[in-house]
Amino acid sequence: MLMGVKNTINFFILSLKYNIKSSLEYKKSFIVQSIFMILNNGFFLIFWAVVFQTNEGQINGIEMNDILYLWSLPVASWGIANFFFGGFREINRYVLTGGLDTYILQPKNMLLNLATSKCDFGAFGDMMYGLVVGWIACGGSIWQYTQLLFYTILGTIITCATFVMVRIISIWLGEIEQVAHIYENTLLITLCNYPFEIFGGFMKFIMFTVVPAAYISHLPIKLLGKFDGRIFLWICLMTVVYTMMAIIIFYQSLKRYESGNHIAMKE
Amino acid sequence: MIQVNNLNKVFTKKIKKPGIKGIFFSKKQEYQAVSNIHLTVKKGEIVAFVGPNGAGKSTTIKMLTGILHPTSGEILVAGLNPVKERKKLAYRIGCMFGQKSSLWMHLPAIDTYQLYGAMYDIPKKELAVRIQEIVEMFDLQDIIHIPVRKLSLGQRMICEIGAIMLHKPEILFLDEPTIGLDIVVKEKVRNAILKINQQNQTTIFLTSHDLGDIERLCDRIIIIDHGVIIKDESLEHLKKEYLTEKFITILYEDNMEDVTFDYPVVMREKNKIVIKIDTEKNTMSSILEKFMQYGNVIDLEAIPVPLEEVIYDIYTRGDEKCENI
Repeated sequence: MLMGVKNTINFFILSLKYNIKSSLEYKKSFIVQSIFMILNNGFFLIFWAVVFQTNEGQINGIEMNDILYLWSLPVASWGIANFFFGGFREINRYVLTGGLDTYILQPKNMLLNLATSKCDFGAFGDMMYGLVVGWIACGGSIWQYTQLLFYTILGTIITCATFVMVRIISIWLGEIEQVAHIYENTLLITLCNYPFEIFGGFMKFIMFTVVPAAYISHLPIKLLGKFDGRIFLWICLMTVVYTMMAIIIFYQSLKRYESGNHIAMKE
Repeated sequence: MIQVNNLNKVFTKKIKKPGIKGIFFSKKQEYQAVSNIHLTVKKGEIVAFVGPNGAGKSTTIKMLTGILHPTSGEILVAGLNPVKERKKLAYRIGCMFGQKSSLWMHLPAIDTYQLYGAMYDIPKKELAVRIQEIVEMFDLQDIIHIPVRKLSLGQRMICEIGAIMLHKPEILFLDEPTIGLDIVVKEKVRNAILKINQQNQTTIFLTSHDLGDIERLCDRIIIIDHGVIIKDESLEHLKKEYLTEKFITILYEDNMEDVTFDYPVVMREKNKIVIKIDTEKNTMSSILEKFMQYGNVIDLEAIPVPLEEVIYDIYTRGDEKCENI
């Protein structure tokens, strides 16, 4: 049992290593993409800084530091999820092209194996940006930053779970790339990056259920301001719930997998 | 090693109306890809599993390897249920699908081999020995450190076979292993498969449209069509049963274009004619005697009907013995 876990971890680390090595085959592209991602995220902060400057540093009780947290936790989670576990966002493509065959035929945990099958190196910029902005938001406090890193890890797990649940739907619905793109890039990111207070009741309900932005971004930020044991346990519990849901939905859907003999064709 | 009983697979497919109507109108139809298949494969056998496109070959292999869940029926591969015991089975089988790559495109094959070593829990020292064996077996010295995307198709296929051999599988499932390869590389791949089978008693279940693979490698042939097995017998028996027919080329001294033969002639060209005989119905000497009456024979050649034509005949006629190929 222990040997099995050790072997799985060894394989997982080696898979990550070769995945990153494979992605770094195009180093210049990697550097350019990372820089552009940092610049892209940076413009939003500049925009917010200007808004706060013209409103005497506060809007309805929201301060610039809150915005720094909003652009740290979810962005870092997103970056880590895509950089290290980018394979999850390929699931729908694998389903449609028969690419899951390879992973079914291999003797390791299929989800872990899939996770490390692709590294989105553009997300490296997101990851670094989120971690650096988080450090600034924590004002140099190591304890505060340690907490932020912990919530980032939970956020990464939830983000990965949503990737799996959204992408495996392609087994039922077919081509869902655009739907998944809207869910992940528009809904999840937007709901994570804007202050909780600006949303109405329905959107808040959505953030606690279908699009788990509350657990990735808003509740952890609340805890970073003032720790509350009940909210902490709730976030941990919901991380487990989303993970379990992703695993169950993935393996149940897999029963309907029809494979395929993909030859490049006009789409 | 492989035991299959009453295996069925039903897919649902959408039938769409042609043109713009197809956007709005479609109906679902069930399609039986595999129907009541029974088969047994013994340890060390090399079995060809052939059939025309869409016959159910790949679907069957995918069920045997756990990729697809059967609609009904029982499968035991190396004593394991492929769906329920996927991970255990993966340690004991090797699969290669000619149209799909298991190698990392941007990395050299040696990196994939290292990763496969970790995947199959092969200790480092043992892995180094196995990689060395595979490098020597397939002459990979010059290509194993080159990124796979820069290799030719043939070189890539050889590396793919090397990758599936690392964990010494008991059963190999090879789906079109020589697709797209030139004759030199094909021969190399075939030799490697034979060597693996002879050295380790590895059971090989192979699909191929290349009958050269089948003639060169297989002891037994299973022919599937429309999801049903229509032939399952030894290659030797198939040849005996179907290859009793021979093409005889007779070269006369004189021009025979105007001569009328009282025997069907397949081809006629100046002083050369080609006839087809069934050696079960006619003896060679009686035929020769008959054709020598028409003129002075200066040369003669007898060639069995190619296996390719036999298989084609079985595909098109079902399992009846071919009368006229």
